[in-house]
Amino acid sequence: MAADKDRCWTRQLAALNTIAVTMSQSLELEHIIQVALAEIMRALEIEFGWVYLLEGERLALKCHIGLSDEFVNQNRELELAPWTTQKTLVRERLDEEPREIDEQSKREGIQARISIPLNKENFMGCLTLASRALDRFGASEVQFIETVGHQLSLAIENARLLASARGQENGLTRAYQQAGRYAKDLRQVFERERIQSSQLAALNAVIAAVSESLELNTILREALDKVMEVMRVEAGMVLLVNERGELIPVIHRGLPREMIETSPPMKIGEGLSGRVVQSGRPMVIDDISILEDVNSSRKEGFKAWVSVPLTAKDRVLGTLNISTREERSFSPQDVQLLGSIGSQLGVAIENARLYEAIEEYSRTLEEKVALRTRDLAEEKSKLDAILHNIADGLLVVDTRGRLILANPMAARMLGFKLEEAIGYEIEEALPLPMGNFLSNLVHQPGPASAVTLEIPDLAQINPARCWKQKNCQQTACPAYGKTEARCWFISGIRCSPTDLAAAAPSTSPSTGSAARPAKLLRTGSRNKPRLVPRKPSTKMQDWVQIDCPFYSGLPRLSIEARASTVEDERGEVLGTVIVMRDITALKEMDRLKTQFVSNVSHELRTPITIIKLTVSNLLQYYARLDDQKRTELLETVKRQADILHRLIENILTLSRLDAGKVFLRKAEFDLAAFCRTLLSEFALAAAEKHISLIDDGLQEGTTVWADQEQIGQVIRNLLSNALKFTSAGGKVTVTVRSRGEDEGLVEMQVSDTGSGISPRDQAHLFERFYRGEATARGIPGTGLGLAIVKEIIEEHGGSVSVESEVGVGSTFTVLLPAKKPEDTFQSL
Amino acid sequence: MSATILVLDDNCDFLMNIELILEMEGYQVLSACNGLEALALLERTKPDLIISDIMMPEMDGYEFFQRVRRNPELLTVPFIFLSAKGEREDIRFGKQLGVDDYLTKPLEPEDLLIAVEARLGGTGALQR
Repeated sequence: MAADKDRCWTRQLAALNTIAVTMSQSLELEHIIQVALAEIMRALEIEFGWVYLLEGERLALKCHIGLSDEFVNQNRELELAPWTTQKTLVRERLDEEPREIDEQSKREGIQARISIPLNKENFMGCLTLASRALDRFGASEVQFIETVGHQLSLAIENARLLASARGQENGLTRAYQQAGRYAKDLRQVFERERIQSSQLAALNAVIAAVSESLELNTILREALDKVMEVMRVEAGMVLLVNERGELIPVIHRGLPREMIETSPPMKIGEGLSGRVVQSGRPMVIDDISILEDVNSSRKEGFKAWVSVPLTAKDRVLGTLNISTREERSFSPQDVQLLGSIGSQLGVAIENARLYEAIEEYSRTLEEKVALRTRDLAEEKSKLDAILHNIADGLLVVDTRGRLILANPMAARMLGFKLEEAIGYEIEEALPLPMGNFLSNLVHQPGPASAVTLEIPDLAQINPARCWKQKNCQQTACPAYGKTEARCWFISGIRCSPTDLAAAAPSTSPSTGSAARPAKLLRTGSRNKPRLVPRKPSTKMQDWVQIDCPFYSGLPRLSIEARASTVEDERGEVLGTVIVMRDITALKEMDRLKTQFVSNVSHELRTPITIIKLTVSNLLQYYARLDDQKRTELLETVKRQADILHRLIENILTLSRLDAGKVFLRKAEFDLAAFCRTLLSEFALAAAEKHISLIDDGLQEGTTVWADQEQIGQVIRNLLSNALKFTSAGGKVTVTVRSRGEDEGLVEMQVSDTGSGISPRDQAHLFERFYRGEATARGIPGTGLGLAIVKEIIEEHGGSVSVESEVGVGSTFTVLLPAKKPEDTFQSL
Repeated sequence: MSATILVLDDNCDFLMNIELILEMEGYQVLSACNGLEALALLERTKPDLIISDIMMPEMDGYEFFQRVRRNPELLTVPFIFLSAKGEREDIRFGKQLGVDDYLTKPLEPEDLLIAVEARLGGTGALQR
């Protein structure tokens, strides 16, 4: 009986070992199940066995041995019934309580049956074993089957773990937690059942320890303790092969520290463990002294040794060694058990390493995610900052015409509040009729279209004044007669009727070109009628621009709105981006240029007219004129020709300055003497206007290093301005003095007692074409003189400035270098 | 006694030429470089015709015209604008103010004389 039991135990252990080895070598679940089923059936001498695994809501027959095709076909899938999910179900005699499934079983000849659930955290399936014999499943068989069941569960979990580990990095963490729970369950089972076989218990304990932790050292320590306890030995150690192929002791018990620390790393093939690693087979040594290369343990008095390989997937990862000082011969059962444990530990080591690798991967991944998240956040804040700070207004409209993004500049330009506009259709979101224009723009097909809006500059308008002007009698104004309406131009519609007309459907298509900003909106048949603003009458248009004092006095903003379609990489339209650029300055420049052309032609015409007239008079009345009159007329011709010459020189200088073709021919000359000469040129003109020219402040011998011709043009421009803006009885004073040796500068001032320059005009005085109030006051000129003065003086490395008071006069101060600079390179 | 004509222009060289033409054609000419000077002359003399530029600093031709017309004694004196402002709107605007004629620069002496004689209606040089 005892021999029977022994044989039985040996078979069971062998089965467990084979299953563990299979598990360590394969990750293919069905193969593991197949092996486990075959092994368990052979160990218990049972005829039938099958395994169901949970797939979704149903149980699928995964593996079966001994069943007829008929039975298999009828039971390929099972509904998830309560009995399948519960605990171990042992039915020793099926004929006692017949059920439908039992009828089928009986046809197979089944008399006794056991079903155990494959359970980790959740129900995963069930393992059933059946026999033609009665009373087949006693307590020890049940225990064995349950152990296998736990192993199978572990295998299933491992397989799933691997699948999820491949997909998701935290799967293993979950598995780790589950493994912990599983181990606890296992311990409970063992405690409950009060296992008789301590060796099986040891194996189970090792499995439990292995499942409890994925931390390698913990696993190995616990496993070694259990093994030593079961094997009743006082020493043991676990060695692992490192990447250099050396065996390193990882855990040791009962061995003197010096013995471990002083021994050099063991090579494969050397010593006991080295030989085990090399062969992959366990080694039992009753007396270690037979091994010549093992000295340390002999010295410490250890006699008997067992060393088993720790294997996983055909690789030997290390060895598990136990030793005793006693005289002892380890039995084959001992070695077999240790071999099983070695296989289990191999799997555990592999799992732990896998876990570590995945943890590491997961950590890197988390770091990467954190980094990327931070990058994205930075990117977003950068984008936000850009959107907030760009000088252009920006609107983004989705395909349904809704405003999904706008920057503060856009809101400021068009006068709407971001929080009130985002999310609404653009026509509603923006003040009329801007919404209509831009909506039209959005609905235009094509890569880019543009429209220019001329609207009151809201930043410069006091909102308090935006209400309807009292006593306004302009009947053409849409706000006329409506008591609640505000002045139409400012807050009601905030747009000029010109633009309204421009948006009307009758206008021709325009493509947005930078050279000619399209003032007109394209409107195609695709447009919904409501998108097209009503067209105001031309009459009103005229009236508004010329007559409405309120409207004409408003500061204006010219905005060029440009729309482009946003497409993703597949060419799908996501929406439209509208960029609005403030082109007020460009428009003003444009206006000034137009004004300039008209001014210049007037300025050219005047002297020519006079020259023509004078010459024609000379010819007509020559005989009747006395010599004095003739000379006077000829002098007039010369003077006007000089004016003409000066003007043309100015224009040419300007274009030379633009082209960068002004080459200064510098020389040292007496600026004071030069001024005196130039003053005499203007003496007659001054006398005619009854203006005194004062030259007392010319400090003789004050030299400058400059291009005399260019400086002449500067002085002439300043003098002619002074005379032009000074009325009869006034004074024009020219002074030249040295600013002292230290500074090396010469100061020239041209002062007048003329009309003076307002502070606003002073700010722009030296800009080309800028004439300020002079235009309105009917004073002729081109707006070039002072621009040229400034540009020439700055070419010389000098500076020019103005001080002026309206009604008192103006003083222009020019500073020029007195001497040729020391550094000869600069003077080139 | 020949007719007296007051000429007002801020450009002295231009003014001198007009003065010359009119004198050569036998008119008495009073000339002024700005509005105030012209108004001062008008306090002492009542001319038979006034010719004025428009774009002038301080007092422009429009203001000068209105100041002249406000004086009852000068109400009937023919008034001609002689200006470089030659756009149709400018001419229309000037005529709306009530001036008798509007001449533009550049000027042909012939046109000036025809306009002057038309306004003086035979009291001028041709009669002589």
